[in-house]
Amino acid sequence: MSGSYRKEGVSTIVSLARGIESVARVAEGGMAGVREGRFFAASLDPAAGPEATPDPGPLVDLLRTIGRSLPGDVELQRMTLMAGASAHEIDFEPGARRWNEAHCRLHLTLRSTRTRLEVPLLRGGARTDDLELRELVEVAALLARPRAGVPRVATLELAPAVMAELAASLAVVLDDLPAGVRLRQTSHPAWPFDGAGAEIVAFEASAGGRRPNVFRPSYRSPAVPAMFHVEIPVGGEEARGEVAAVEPIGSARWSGGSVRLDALCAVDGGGFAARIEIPAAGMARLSRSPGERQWFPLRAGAWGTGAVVERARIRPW
Amino acid sequence: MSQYRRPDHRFVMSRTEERWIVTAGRPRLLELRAEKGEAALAGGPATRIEARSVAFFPQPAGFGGEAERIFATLLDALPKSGSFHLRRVREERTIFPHEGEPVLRSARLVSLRASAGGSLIFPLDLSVPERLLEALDLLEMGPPERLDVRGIPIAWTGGTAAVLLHEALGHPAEADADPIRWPDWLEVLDEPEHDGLGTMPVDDHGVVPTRARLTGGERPDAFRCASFRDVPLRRMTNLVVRTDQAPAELPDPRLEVLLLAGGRWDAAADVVELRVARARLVRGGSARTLAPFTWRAPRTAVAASLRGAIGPVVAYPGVICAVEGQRVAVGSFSPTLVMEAPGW
Repeated sequence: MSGSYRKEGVSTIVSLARGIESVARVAEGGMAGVREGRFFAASLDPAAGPEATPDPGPLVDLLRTIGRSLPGDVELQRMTLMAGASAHEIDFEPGARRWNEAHCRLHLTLRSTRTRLEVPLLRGGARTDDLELRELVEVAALLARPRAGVPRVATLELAPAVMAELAASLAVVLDDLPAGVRLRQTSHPAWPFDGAGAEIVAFEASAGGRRPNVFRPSYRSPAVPAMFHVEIPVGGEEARGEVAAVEPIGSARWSGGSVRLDALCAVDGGGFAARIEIPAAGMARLSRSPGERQWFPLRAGAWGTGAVVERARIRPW
Repeated sequence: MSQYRRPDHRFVMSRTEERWIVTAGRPRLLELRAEKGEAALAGGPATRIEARSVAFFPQPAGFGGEAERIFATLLDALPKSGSFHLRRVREERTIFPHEGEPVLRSARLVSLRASAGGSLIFPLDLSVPERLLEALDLLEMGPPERLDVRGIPIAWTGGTAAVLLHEALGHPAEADADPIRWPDWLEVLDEPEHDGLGTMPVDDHGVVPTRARLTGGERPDAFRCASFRDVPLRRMTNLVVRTDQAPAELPDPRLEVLLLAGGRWDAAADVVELRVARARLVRGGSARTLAPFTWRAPRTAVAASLRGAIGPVVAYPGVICAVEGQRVAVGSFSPTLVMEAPGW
């Protein structure tokens, strides 16, 4: 691949980290390409300065709203809220094109001051209106009502955030996709093009199969083959689980034909952290649970739809 | 210790990074990156940052005469078998404090990852080829075995004790965690003026940072940021372990920790975790190399099980430390520390 990729963007980042509140307005340009067989990346003068970044006022208001919504024994350990826009230009085939994108990210960690349990949440969309804060309130309420012990159950409900994490973890082990487990690349209306300017087209993954699109998390990184907006399909009759895994705590990992992840779980209005192990056979037979499909900014994007699994093992965290 | 300060100031930074692969003695430049940016910071209820990038194009072999000669010597010195990934970084920051003259801070680093495992990072100076080859000898020990070494005393050698205390004392001090009691003979300092990976005549707030005695409950004084886009956070610079009147003898048997692949402090559980890349079990006159493993202990158990020190203070070959997504280099210096096994 020769030619170059150019990106120019503005973003406003409101953050709270280690007790320091900050508002950063960043204007940035950069280009990358392959010359003489080696990848290169260089920064550029952006056409617009920091004054062109989104107004930080609404972001600061949202940060304060989140802070005020927390119960007394739950604290905001850290939070980053970012809104921005970027223009992309590819001058090589097959994707030679220009396009614009808008993006918004919310990354925060809630902490129980009683149990010291920390739960990170990652949400995203094209605009701040896309951010779903209802689940944040639910997670905070579960942290405020800790439950002792882990119940023995036959069915486990997996919330959209957990399903998206599981889908993203499958995209990493695509070469060894477990038999019977389905994963598909889908599209997102806000971000139709990949890191080479090619259209992102839906397809069903197969073990060792080709990844036709490339991901470029930053102009500073070479584009690498990846699956975009991944999703584990679920269908059939709606069902409910005895316990719900509400929010992942860390990454899911596949090993020996099963997937393991830690998650904040809920039962009878109380919250507890658990280690969850789901065999591939369980992941191959999921029932749909009520609720809407949601997108999450995990790797090159992941969708999650609530599901119920029957063969999960849950242990104390 | 000085108070928390956020004076208005600005800085300009540039960074050039090369990634090389050396296979069978043949080096090849794979990636070349350059970026430059400027930021203005203002205090108040919230730190306000206005930042923008500046055009900056990378030039191969753009590190300057002596740095190029040292790097060429290093490439020549690498073993002709196996493959090695090298990263060479040059970073320069000019900080314009609220008052006073601009200050230039520059760093040149080289890091290496061997196909056999393990990673190393050094300031790019005349000592690099020799120090790197010494460290590579550790990577070539073998063959590794999986042995049960629970309950065996540990000797943290080659500066690895500084990394242990980076996690067990440095990060908790950065985060203002509850202090715990450390042995009276142990002094752990954050020394911005120390010659090392984190040497800091002026920090990213435009302030001259002072030495902090972490074992005395002080917090690192320097505020550092990884790039012009980031908020400066309270971070370690050079972690230096000193001991007073605590001579120890190497126990037999013992687990000698030689090289680490990473570590973390789990604030929620108050547990320290280190990924050990190279260690050996020494019993009598013989030594057996261990396969890489993860070592964990509660922070209070680390403090309670330290027994004493042996030998001079030595530099550990590098720590790249990530907090809130910002990666900065931290210098690490310690003598060998001996501890009872506090558990796994």
